[in-house]
Amino acid sequence: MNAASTTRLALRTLRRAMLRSALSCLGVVIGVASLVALVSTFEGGIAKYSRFSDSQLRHLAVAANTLRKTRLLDSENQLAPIGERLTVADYMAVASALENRAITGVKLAHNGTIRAYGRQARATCWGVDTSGLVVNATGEREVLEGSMFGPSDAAAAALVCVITKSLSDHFFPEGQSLGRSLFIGPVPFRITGVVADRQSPGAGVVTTESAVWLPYTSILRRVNPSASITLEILVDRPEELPGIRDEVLELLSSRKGLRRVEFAAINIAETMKQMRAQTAVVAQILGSIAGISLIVGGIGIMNIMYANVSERTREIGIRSSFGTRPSDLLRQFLLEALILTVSGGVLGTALGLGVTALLARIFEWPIVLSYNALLGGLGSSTLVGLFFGYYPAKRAAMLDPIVALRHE
Amino acid sequence: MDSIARFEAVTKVYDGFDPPVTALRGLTLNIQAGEFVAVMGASGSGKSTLLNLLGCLDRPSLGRVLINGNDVSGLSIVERADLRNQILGFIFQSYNLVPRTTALENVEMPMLCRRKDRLSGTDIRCRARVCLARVGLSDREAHYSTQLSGGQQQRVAIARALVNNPSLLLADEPTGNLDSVTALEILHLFQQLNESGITIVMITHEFELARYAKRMIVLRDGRLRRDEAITARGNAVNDLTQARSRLAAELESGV
Repeated sequence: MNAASTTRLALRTLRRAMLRSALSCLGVVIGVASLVALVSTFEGGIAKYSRFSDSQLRHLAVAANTLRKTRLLDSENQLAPIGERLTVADYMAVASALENRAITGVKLAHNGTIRAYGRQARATCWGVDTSGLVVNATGEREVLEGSMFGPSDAAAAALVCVITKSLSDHFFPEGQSLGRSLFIGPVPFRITGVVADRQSPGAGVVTTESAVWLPYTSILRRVNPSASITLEILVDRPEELPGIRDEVLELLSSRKGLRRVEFAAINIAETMKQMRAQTAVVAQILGSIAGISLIVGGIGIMNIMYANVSERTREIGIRSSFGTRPSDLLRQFLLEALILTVSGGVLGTALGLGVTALLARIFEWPIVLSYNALLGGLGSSTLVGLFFGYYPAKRAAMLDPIVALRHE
Repeated sequence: MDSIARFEAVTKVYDGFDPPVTALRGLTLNIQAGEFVAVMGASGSGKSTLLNLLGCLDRPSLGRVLINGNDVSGLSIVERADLRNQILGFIFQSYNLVPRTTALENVEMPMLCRRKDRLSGTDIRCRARVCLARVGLSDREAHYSTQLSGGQQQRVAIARALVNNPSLLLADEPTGNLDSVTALEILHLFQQLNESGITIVMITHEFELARYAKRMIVLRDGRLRRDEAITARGNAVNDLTQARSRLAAELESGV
């Protein structure tokens, strides 16, 4: 029998038992739908955290790796130098080494209480210089009022600061924060600008961010002389990043007499990519759980196909008596099983994408058309059809026509 | 005349039983092209086994069965399937139409599994229509088997058996489930087909029906008991006309 007439016959047979066909492929529909939904939702979630801006791809943060030191202390049972941190001199050395090739800035953090006009708040105080502002995420923020402070403020350790909108609202509910002062410890800082809060990469909830940016020199001299320094480096092109990282680490380790592992040089995009590779394992585990429901669906198909074969035993006998070859019968029943599972796979894929779109809406994730999920869903439903349809079809093909013709 | 089917000392033993059943014992038989053979015998005499061997559905335990010159014992399952498709047509007592399938689709079925000289979809449909017309059922093409009378179903089955132009038609008690008038209609059709050159082997229980054939074979315990030409051959057309008018008269007089 040729392919067209085999297909026509299979479709006709399935149409005659519409309800049964629909019910029997339901298992595959659910299996494929959960596979597609799980994998593409997962990939959507990852994609949300894998969107990097150009400056994030070009950005490198370098700091003395205090965490590593603690671990070395534990594992080697010897005292490691504690409090070894980068200094302004290190910063200057790196900055001059990278001059014309990258923008080098500095960032240091101080967590403290800020007071003003009888109110107070806990906030992160970022010590930066102007270029630090650029490489820092503040560079991408909207400046709502006033302006950023300039290089001369950093050089002079001026007592100026920039705050977030929510902090401004907290201290000055009536507005008018520019030109007024905040106290960090006993030191007053004049507000020169207000920037927008960063949208947290979460479920679209507006988060408040309490942050203050000051000239780093002011923090070191007036607030916290032992604040640890992070170098912020912005290279011109992402592909220059590894070379410059090597160079900076080489320079710093020779300056400090430390091994390279004592420093951390982190690019957020690379870190996320590594995380992504790890979370892919989780996606695979979720996928295999969905795969189990696909197997259950396949067993349903096998069951219905066996019932089909024994119900149509006499028909099989009639067909063989008129010269239908065993291979034709095998193809016929296999095709019926395949049509069931593949249409189940298509329906399931559509359903799974629908669920993905719904979840993406709820979590405000991008809708990712996961080709893995699509291929996996359709491919596995085909495989399920071939595998679970084969045995019933084989039974049909092996029937002795004489016995089949006598079957009641 | 050419031999279309030849049994040479054929023995068939069914091993699946304890003790094994011997259905045919050294049967030798030759059927020429153009014959119309009625096979008779009690149940268990080997009629069905004979038909299964003629129909290439089974192979002999001993001896040789030659269909159209092919030794069936040497053929694979696939080769036997192709042989059935090309030169044989089956007609069963219980009609055996494929359920939930129209008359036309039933008749198309043997053409769909053709390997040699494949036909296009239109040709298949066209030929199925011609065959249905030949058995007088042009107006029943789209009817399902449940919508047809027994006689009509059997005629669809005959159309189906004819559609690949077989040289040998095998009928297993084709009128067993039919009333006497309808049975005569079927035999009339058989006589017509035989006239047109098709060889027919028909199993029957009734001597009344065997007389419409040209030759009669009687089996007993797997052996040939009688093999003779039919001398006082019945003419199905005449008998059918008589039977119909008798039936009409009986219905008129209210008997």
